[in-house]
Amino acid sequence: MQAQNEAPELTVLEFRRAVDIALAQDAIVPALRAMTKLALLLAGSSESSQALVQLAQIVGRFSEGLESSDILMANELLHSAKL
Amino acid sequence: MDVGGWLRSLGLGQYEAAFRKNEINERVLPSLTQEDLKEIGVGPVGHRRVLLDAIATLRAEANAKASSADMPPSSRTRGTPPDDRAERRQVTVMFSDLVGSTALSARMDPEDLREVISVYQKCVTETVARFGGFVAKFMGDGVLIYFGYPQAHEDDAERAVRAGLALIAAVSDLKTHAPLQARVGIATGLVVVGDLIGSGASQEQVIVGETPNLAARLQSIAEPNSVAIAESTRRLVGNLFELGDLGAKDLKGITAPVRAWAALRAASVESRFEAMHASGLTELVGREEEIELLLRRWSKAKTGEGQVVLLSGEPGIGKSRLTAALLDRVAGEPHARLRYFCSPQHTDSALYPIISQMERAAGFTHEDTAQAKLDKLDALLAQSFTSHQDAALLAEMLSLPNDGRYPTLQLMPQQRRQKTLEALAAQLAALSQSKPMLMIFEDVHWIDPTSLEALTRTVDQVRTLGVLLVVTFRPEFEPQWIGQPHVTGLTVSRLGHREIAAMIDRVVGNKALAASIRQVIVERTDGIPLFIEEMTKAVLEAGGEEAAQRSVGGIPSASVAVPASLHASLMGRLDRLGWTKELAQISAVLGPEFSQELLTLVTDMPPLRVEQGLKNLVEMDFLVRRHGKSSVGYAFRHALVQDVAYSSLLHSRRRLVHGRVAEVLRETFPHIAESQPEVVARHMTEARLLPDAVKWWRKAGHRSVRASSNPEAIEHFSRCLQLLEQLTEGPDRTREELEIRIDLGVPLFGSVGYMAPEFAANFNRALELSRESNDAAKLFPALWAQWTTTFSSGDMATSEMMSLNFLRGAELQESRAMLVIGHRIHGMTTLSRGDVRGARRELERSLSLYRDPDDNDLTYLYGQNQRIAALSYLCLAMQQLGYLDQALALSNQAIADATALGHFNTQGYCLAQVLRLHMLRRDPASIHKTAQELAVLSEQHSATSWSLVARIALALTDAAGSVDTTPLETVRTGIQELQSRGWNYWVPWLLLEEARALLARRDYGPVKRRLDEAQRLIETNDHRLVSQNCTICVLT
Repeated sequence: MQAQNEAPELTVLEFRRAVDIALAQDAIVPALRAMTKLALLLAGSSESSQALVQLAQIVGRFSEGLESSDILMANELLHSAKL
Repeated sequence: MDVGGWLRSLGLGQYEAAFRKNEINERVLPSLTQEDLKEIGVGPVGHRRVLLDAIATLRAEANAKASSADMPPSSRTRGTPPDDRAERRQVTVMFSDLVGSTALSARMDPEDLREVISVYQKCVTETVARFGGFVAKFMGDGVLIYFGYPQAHEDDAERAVRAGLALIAAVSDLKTHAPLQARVGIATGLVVVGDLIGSGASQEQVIVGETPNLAARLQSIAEPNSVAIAESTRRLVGNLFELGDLGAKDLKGITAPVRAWAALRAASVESRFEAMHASGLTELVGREEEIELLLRRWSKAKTGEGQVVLLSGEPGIGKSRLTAALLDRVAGEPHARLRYFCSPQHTDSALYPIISQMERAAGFTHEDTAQAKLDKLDALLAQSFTSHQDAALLAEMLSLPNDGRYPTLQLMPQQRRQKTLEALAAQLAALSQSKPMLMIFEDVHWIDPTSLEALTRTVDQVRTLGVLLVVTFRPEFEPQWIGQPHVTGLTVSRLGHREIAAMIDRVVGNKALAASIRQVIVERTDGIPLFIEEMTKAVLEAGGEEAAQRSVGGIPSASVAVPASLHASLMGRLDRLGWTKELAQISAVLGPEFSQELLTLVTDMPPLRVEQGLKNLVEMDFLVRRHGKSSVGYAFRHALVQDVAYSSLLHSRRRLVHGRVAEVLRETFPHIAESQPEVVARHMTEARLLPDAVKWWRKAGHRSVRASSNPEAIEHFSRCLQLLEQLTEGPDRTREELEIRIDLGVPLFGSVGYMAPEFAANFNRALELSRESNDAAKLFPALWAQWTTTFSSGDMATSEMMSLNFLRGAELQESRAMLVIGHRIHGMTTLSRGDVRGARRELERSLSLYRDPDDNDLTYLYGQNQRIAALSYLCLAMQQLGYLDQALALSNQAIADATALGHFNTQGYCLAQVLRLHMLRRDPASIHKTAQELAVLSEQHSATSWSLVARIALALTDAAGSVDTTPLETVRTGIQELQSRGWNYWVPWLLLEEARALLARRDYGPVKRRLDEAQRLIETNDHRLVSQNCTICVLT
């Protein structure tokens, strides 16, 4: 059980589920947010590159608002991974 | 009398509570004085005057009733009208008349005639009493007799026919001046048995109904010295009598021709069970284990180790059916059989079952002379090598005269009894020598004491013989033989659901039976095979669809009557209750289960007496006690017993009790009334309080809609409509029907779908009604209002049905303007349900249909400017879809247009949605700005809900980056305020924002609670759009 004053955290599985639901609803803003967090969580693991591919796909669906903080953060993550 | 109703009738309903509080019931009401009224708190002199006058009238009425009935006022004024104890019941009515009495009166001296009539009447009275009948009335030489009242017996019809036959014989044997002949007519049916009318010698038990008339008419067509019976009676006596068909008769005062039968004599039937099942037995269901056990005992018995099986079980459970199955299974094997049947009419006739067995075995017939019978007996006894002395004893047992062929026995009565029992034992020993023997003794709960002694000997005796003895009886009989090693007890139990279904299938055969009716049968028959069989047959005969309606609200309805074949035995049980019968009847009105508290309040009996009565009812196996959480509850053991108790109440009395139940539920158990409005509604309906009933059914419907129980909701609203039809036509009725039709559209939509004809029919009727009320424009605003209320309550599943409902209505009407609204509101629910792309499509459709300036007027009938409202939601959908710039552009346009329009409701609506857009965008500056504008605007117009949302949003921005806890407290109380007002649309969103704020302050404790609460609301309300935003929204 979680201690009373510990930050609640989502597991990889919960993030995946969140991404799936958001994509199923065509709500790509929440999908992007969840996927960004998931990719960060998986950084360095064997699933990392797959998560980044999926993140790139979601980012690719945006045609406007490319200067919004959500997209900027996702792009930053994608760039740093490629370096 | 209902004191509350009385007060309301005087226009002084406001004192109802005060009267109740002072325990003013109908008993003390007539004796209230001026002083009492003051004390109760009736202030104005005028009111006191009105009450005192009305009380004086009551007193006069009570006195008049009391003196006319020659009864003390206390017992007459008590509670209810004088015909109150009258009952509806099935009675077999017998009418007997002397043949040619007019001729007799002409021929005879009046004094002699008087003598003849008196002898005849005495003869009838005695004969009828022997069979448990009740002489209700002498009308000269005519006698009216009831079987089944005041005490019902399960074999009333049979008793009546036997009594009729005995009566004819007894009358023709009378030694009078002239030979007498009687004629008897018998019919069975539902009657109302009245209370005593008159008193003393003129007292008479009046029964009303077609049955007594039918019995009298049948009597008139009967041949002298014969008994004519109606078809209704014949069905109940099966093959117990030899009958002559009299054909269909036209009888005076009876509408249709009546099939009549002449009962000739008792048939020589071996088994009552078989006589009642002449048309064949229903296949045995679910008794494999019992049959196996009987067959194992039979195998053992055949080896010479005699066995006894005691089959016990309640009436109708299938004891006789089991023995019939056993006989069937061993039919192919060589064996001897002895079958004995006890009878309810012969519980005091010594050796009755044994005598009748021997008469059957010897083959006596109706016409045999004593001589012939003796010859037959000799032939029978020769098979068992019977001694002369035993033969003499047995002949005497059969009441045959000794014609000199047997030795004369000089025995004391006690000795004779001993010797006879020994002779019977010797018979058994001899008969079982050559072949294994199957001996069946049925219905031993009716055994006479001498036969019981003989049977007890037999149980001992068979131990060493090749005999299987099967004894059947009901649980009230307690056998003394248990514990002996060769005796096995076997209790036959009720059938399970699968077996009941199988049994119904067998009875139904290839006829059709609706699933709903099947369900009723399963519910009402408690797994008792006889009940299942009879009820299924009765339903098939009646073919009534209504059967399915009966279980609504748990109160039996009269539409499926208890089968006639079961009525007498069930009524008999009820009659044996004595004074507690009334309690059982009232309980039956309450339903299959009820609390003691409710019953006590509904009856006018003192609580202690109710408690004692309930205790009796439990002891007599009528009720089962159930311990609830807070109160003591009771349930009927048999649903059919409840039905009979209920159906025996007069309609007028039923109505009173139902009305009282509804009143008590509403006033004393508001929690039950609120959580089960359909129960109150049902009682109101039965009480014929129609306007109230409509109100409560509607309440039940709304409750069912909220619980997404669409079929129930449809049922409830349909009942409203049925009842409305019975009310007087007028604008009020039209308006009410319109409202109900609008309500009904929602569950109809949810269950049959909007393409179904029912849906269109309902909608078109609503349209017609709105035109009738000269307010054609009323329908869509009503539909809209219904949707908007539900939408702001956050219940998205129901909202979706309502918005589709509206849309479908617009399509049927081919109204473009209504389609604008329909697509708009449906887009809103679609978005909330999480179909973002679908929502965009609907909203864009609405915008494309919108015509400026034609549609601008809609703004005022439908709350907001439709175009701006659509834009306000479209921006949310576009944002979620990732069109971040377009979303922002749409929101700016919406705000600009709303401001230009200057319509407050449109502006507030728009700002609130744009505020939400900025929350989704996570743009604190825009949130703050928009919330400020919304706060100012909504406070100007005292719009509480928007004001609350705006204050919460502002507090959330204040909370960010501050250590002050006040803003979060504002958020908390604001959310609670929204919830308490039922405005749950915003609540899950705001809970998530609150959780984010808490998280930012590292106040992790309450975060999970907020998330859980949001999740719970999302799930109950199906507010799916929030779900993908739920935890992610907070934690990403």
